[in-house]
Amino acid sequence: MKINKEIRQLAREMLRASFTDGRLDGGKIASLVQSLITKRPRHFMDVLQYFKRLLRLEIEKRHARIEGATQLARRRRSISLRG
Amino acid sequence: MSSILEEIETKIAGLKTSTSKSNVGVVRETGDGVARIEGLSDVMLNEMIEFPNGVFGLALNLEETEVGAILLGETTKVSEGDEVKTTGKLLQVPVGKALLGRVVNTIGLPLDDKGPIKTETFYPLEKKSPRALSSRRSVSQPVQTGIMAIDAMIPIGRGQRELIIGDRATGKSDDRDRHNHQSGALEQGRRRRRRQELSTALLHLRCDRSEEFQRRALTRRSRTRRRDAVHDNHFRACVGHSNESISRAVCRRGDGRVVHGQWNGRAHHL
Repeated sequence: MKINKEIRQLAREMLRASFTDGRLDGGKIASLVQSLITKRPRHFMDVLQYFKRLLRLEIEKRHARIEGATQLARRRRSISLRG
Repeated sequence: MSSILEEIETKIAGLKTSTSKSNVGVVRETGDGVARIEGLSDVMLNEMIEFPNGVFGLALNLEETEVGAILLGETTKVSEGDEVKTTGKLLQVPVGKALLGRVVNTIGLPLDDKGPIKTETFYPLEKKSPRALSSRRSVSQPVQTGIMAIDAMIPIGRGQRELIIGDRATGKSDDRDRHNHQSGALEQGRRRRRRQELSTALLHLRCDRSEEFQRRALTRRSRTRRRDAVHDNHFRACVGHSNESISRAVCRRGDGRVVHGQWNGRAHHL
């Protein structure tokens, strides 16, 4: 099913509300998802799916993948694991 | 952070969506205990429909664009714009042992604050008449009343029912009696004799008014008061009795209206 404009808007608003001091807040995200499931607005499943996609993109945007042909130095590896 | 995504995925997978179809309409206008509803496309005739605030209605008028329903309950609780649902049930009431000792309204809803009536048996309010009525023969034999206007324009069948409307003293009862074969020559003679007796009684009453009545009115005003008046229905019961009983049974007001009934305090004000 095609995701319409309202679904996208709601999911984006949820994403904006998920930040605390510029970083994604796990507690906020959980409460947002819970309230959406409780209220069950129209197309809430599609909103959740789209919100998940936005979160995934946001998380990917804030991560850097470092690849090397040789073994990475310990410091660099720890940075990449910490995210 | 990927744990959050996994958590959301788990929640989405755990959600179950169920769909249910319900036929819903909107009240367009309401008044005089009738609501006109738009949007109820799948409603049956005589189906119970549910309004907000626990009010029920009965769909009686199915038109192309709207449904007319009579309201069975508090009509003031229904207003324009209210959402209406069909119930899929014809007008019915709960029956069974659960109904024992309960106080219900006309459509079987409880009024005694003891909770809903738990029964699985319902009985339709509108159903076929008992066999004694349905097995009657249909009307097939004409009856000649002897009144040309009636026989020509509204012929009557034997055993049928007919509404007779008319102004007073236009002969409605005569027609009825004739149709019911109660008014043969004997009956007509009886009625004529009663009329004669009535005239005699009236004469007596008028005579009484001059002297006897005035005297009684002055002496026993609070207890007895006479009026010269008459009504043929009561006259039937009164013929053969004293003039006093006639005046008690029927009173004629000053404006010519006849009020019949037993003598009581109200008649003082006539």
